[in-house]
Amino acid sequence: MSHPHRPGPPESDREPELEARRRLCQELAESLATPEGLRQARLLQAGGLLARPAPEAEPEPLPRPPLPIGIWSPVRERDGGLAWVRPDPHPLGDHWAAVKTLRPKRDSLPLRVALFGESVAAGYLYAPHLTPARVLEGILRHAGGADRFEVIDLARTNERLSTLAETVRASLQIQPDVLVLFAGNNWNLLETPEVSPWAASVEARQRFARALREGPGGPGRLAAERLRAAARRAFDLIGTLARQAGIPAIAVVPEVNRADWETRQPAPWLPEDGTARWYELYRRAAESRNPEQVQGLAERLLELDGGACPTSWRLLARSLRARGDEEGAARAARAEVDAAAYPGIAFLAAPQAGGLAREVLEEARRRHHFSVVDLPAVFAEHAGSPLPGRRLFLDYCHLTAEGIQVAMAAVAEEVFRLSGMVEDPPTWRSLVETAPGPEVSPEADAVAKLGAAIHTAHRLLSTQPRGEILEHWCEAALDASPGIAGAMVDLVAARTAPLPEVLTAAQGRNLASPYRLLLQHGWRWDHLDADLIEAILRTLRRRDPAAADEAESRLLERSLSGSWTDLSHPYWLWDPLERFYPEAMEFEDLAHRAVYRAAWPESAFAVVVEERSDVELTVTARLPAFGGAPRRGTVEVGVGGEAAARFEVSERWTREGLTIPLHRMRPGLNRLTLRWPEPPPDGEAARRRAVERLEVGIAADLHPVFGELFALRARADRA
Amino acid sequence: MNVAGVSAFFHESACALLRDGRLVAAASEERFSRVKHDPRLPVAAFRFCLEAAGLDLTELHALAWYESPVRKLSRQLWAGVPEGGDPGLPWLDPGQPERALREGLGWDGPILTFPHHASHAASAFFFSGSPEAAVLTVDGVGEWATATYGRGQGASLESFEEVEFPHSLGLLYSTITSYLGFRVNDGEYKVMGLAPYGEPRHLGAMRRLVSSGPGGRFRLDLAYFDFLRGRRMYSEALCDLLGAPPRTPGGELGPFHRDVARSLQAVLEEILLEKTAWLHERTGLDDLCMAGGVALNCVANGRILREGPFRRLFVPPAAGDAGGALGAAALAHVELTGQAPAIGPLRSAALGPAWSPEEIAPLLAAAELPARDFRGREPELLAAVADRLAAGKVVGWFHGRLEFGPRALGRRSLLADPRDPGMRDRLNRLVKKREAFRPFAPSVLAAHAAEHFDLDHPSPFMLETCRVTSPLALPAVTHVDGSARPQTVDPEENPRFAALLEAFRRRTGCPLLVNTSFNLAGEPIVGSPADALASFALSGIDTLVLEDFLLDRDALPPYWPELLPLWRERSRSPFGGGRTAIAEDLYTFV
Repeated sequence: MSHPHRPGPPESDREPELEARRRLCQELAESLATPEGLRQARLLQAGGLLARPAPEAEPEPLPRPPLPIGIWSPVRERDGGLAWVRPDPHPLGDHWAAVKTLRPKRDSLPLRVALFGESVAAGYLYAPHLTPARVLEGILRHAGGADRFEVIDLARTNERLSTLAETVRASLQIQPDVLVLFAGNNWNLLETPEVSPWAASVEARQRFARALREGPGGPGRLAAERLRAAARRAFDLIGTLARQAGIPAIAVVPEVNRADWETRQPAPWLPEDGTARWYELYRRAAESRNPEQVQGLAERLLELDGGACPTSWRLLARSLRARGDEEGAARAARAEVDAAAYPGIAFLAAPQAGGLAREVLEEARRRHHFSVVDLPAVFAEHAGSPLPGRRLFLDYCHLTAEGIQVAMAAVAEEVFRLSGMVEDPPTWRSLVETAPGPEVSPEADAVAKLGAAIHTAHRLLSTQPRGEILEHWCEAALDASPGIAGAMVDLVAARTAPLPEVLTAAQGRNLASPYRLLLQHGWRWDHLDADLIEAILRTLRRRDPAAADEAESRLLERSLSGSWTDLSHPYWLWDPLERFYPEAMEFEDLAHRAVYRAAWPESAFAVVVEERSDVELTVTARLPAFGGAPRRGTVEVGVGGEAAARFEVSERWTREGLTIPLHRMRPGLNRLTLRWPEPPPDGEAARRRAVERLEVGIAADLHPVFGELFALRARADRA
Repeated sequence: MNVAGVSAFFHESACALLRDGRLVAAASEERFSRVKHDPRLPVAAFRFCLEAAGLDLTELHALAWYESPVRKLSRQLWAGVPEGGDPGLPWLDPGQPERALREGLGWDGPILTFPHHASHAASAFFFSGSPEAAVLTVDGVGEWATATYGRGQGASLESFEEVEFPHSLGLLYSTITSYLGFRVNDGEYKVMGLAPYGEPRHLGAMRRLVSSGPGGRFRLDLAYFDFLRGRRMYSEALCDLLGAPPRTPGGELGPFHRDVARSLQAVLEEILLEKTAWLHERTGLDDLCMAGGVALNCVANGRILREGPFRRLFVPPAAGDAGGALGAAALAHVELTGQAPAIGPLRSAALGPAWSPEEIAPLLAAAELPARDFRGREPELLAAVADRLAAGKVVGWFHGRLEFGPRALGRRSLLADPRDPGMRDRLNRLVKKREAFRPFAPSVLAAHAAEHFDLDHPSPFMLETCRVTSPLALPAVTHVDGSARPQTVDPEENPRFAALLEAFRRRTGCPLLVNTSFNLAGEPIVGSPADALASFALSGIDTLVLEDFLLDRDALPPYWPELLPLWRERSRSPFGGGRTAIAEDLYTFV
């Protein structure tokens, strides 16, 4: 940067000592403006040699009872007793059970079971109509006596380790007899922001860089160590509280959807030309219909990435399953989940409990004598497969009504065993058989299933097209209650409206309907949702053609006009999750970019065309420069999977004008793709550069960026 | 020659664009991100400026950055590592701004860097329309300078004297702002509004805090300040000097606080009057241009013009750091072409995005709001609005391009009848939720300004106060000391707003309206129609005018007030304190 303008003469009467210090500081600043100067300063800073110690913090005063229990605040009742009352639930739902008041236990019976945990335990997508707590209570009362059991629902969507322990502590004020802890899916990188390349913290980046120097698995190992320590602290506290209160605790080892859910992540930088080879192998595997060939390719991918990339494991799981090896597929799918826990993932991933959660819960069993419900074993037995799928899961971890019933039956078995309140306690198998199934209205069931479609569209990045699973859930929703077609139309209308969904009449109509979609079902997701809209349109076309016509007409209102539309805006991305994690999740300054960066070899954008017309495009694009070397390449433009045009790019921004002829476009949604050139060959150098940046506290790309767009403007050329 | 200026990473980031020397767009990032005073890289503002200019990134010739990162770092190092700050010392890295421009904006062309106060000076001089003027910049701190004195002539802009950190009028004002329990970099204008309620009983103490030196100089007595240590602005010695502990934020404002505010304001004005007199003597010029955060002190500006030797004063509408983007762009233009920007006097702050009626119609259709459509019927629209204003209604007025700078000037404004004695309370109750002592400002038809104010020149940007001389009682806009901060409205600059004032005048005989910014408490001024709709719904505003469409309150869906807070929370969420979009009130996945 230049300094062409100089201010006028400085004050002439500066004090000499201050002036000398000022000159020194100017020299230092100039040195810090050089890479080596900054690096040396960062070494001093990382060594704690520069910062002035923070003043002694005032110790936090110990909370005085009565403590709030989660969202429930203590209030004094008319009779002088205490109760805990929560605010009214938000019209779009919130994260806690919709139970207004909690009261201390007054009599020895009913036995009070307190259920803690994350969104799975809260009944995400079904809540508040159907929750695991209510199902558990129903099973306990059915088999143990109607007035002998009650379940207090203290599960909370978004629960974290520290708040879990605090909620358990506070719950002791209402005297639970049994604690049930159903958590583990959220124990991921959100628990260890201190080992993150994405956190807006110089120290977190430096820590990450040091771990990365050990190899691609280094940060994962460091994060796991810290996570293990955090979990141990939380469970030690819970164990101590339970022991002091003299009550048993049951830990439920979560299971996740390993049949339908996939985790696609780009490969990290690999040595030599490994990165380019990885993508080439991936491309071949994705195109292949031959499971044996896919297995071979997946094994080669794993050799290349050392098992650090979940995508390779997924391809292996898929191929083994297709070849009938369900056990092998299950193992590969578990490895996929564990690899996705890597704290430097490129794409936003779905929270799924992996091996670490199991380890932590097993350790809690050993150290604190918790009972453990092994949900993976229960589900495998129930489903007759080690690869549980959509029968038990709505998405990556949230349970169907059947899944909730089975899981809670297994918990009930343990409650009966520990409480000794039932002679010859029934097994979970018999409870599943004999207890009445979860009661949920057709409308709530349909909403949960449409919610599964929406949630899947928002969180699944798969190695194969997502249409099948999205349509499965749309169909299931219509099966549950055909009236939900109206909600589907409203959803399309809201997604395609030119203003925030919350202001649309479509959302208002939905909220007034029996099919209220809440926050958990995906209102306020700021993109077109092209895959979801396609799935809804296809399903409605089969099931409710009039509704399909209406939804389609809403979509077409967002068609290209004669004015320019910039398709590089996140709204038009076919799959916005194919952006780097911090960019998708708005991590401080990292999210704040004016440029779209392709994190995958192909970028896809939604183009809505009302009538058959040529589409004019102008593209402002470049290839990321590596080490200052010039780059050139060709970008292939496709529409609907067919090549439509190409243009040349370099490391400098260039603008190209293109026309996609009318015969390439179809009325409605079109998938416009840009296929970028291969990344540069030297992955090791790229990784080294990333480490060097992180070491001085600068965010770095841990995965290839294939291309960059400043603009991708489109308009219909009806002339 | 197309140049974009950028300011960011301290207080309210912004971007401005000069196309062939003409200012075509300028905007603050907060208006897009909805994060008040958003200091992050102005990516949305940058993209908007290019779009407004009809330019692609490849057609931009240079970026201009509004301060020198190395010189700024040298001052930060001089001040020492603040106590208790981030142990990662993120500020140690002077390469960060350039990296942000390269990687965040994607810019791969030349970047020109200008000193902070040079950017301020340029934002005033090159947009003043004066061929030659004295230039004064005053703020908290840039790199080292806290005040500069100079002269502009044609394409030349020089400073001949500067006051350096830690001696700073801006930091003095911020320190007392903090002592009075208001937020630094946010509450200074509240202190200015509080001042007329007090008496200058602490002048002696204030004069111990700051003393004037020869020429343009002044010094703070650092014993009373603690900002060098980075923990708080004032020291215990200041509390001892003033004889009272600092006010707790949100606590009661008593006579002592009002007197402190009054004394501070008096001392600031005193010094500025003295220094501008010296500057006048030094330059011998009639025109003064001012910029920097302290130039937003419209009470001081009014006195400088009334009581000082300069005949004309120009303060740009974005006199604070956002305006640094504008100044840097102008300096880059000069640097690259050798010529002054072809700007002339800046008459309008309407430099941001606009929405045409044709763009708004589908939004209203998607919301299914029964708006009255006045397209092609402007007189009828204005009649309907004037009727409502005359009936005591509060109107949200959204028209034309968003203003650049902190003031709403008839584009994103809340309007009301200034004669209504209950209007100030009503506005506060319905929407602004601000301290009762703060006055609202009037807009007045330029042709009638002299009938109501002691004002003999245009004041298009609301940046000076003057005495109210109106034959009308104007309680909603008259401050306790009989002053007001009027905007004079020129029919050529904003014909529709002027026509509305005229329509109101015809009905009521009053050519003025209360004009306060269209925003909810704690939020930036509305930028888009969606922002306006949300703010309308979440306030008690009676009527919303979105270009040619008029909506009365009863047209709104009853459930909006319950739902919209979530949307607003989300739009503010990501920045600050390491927070991510994963927050308790959000659509979440886990």
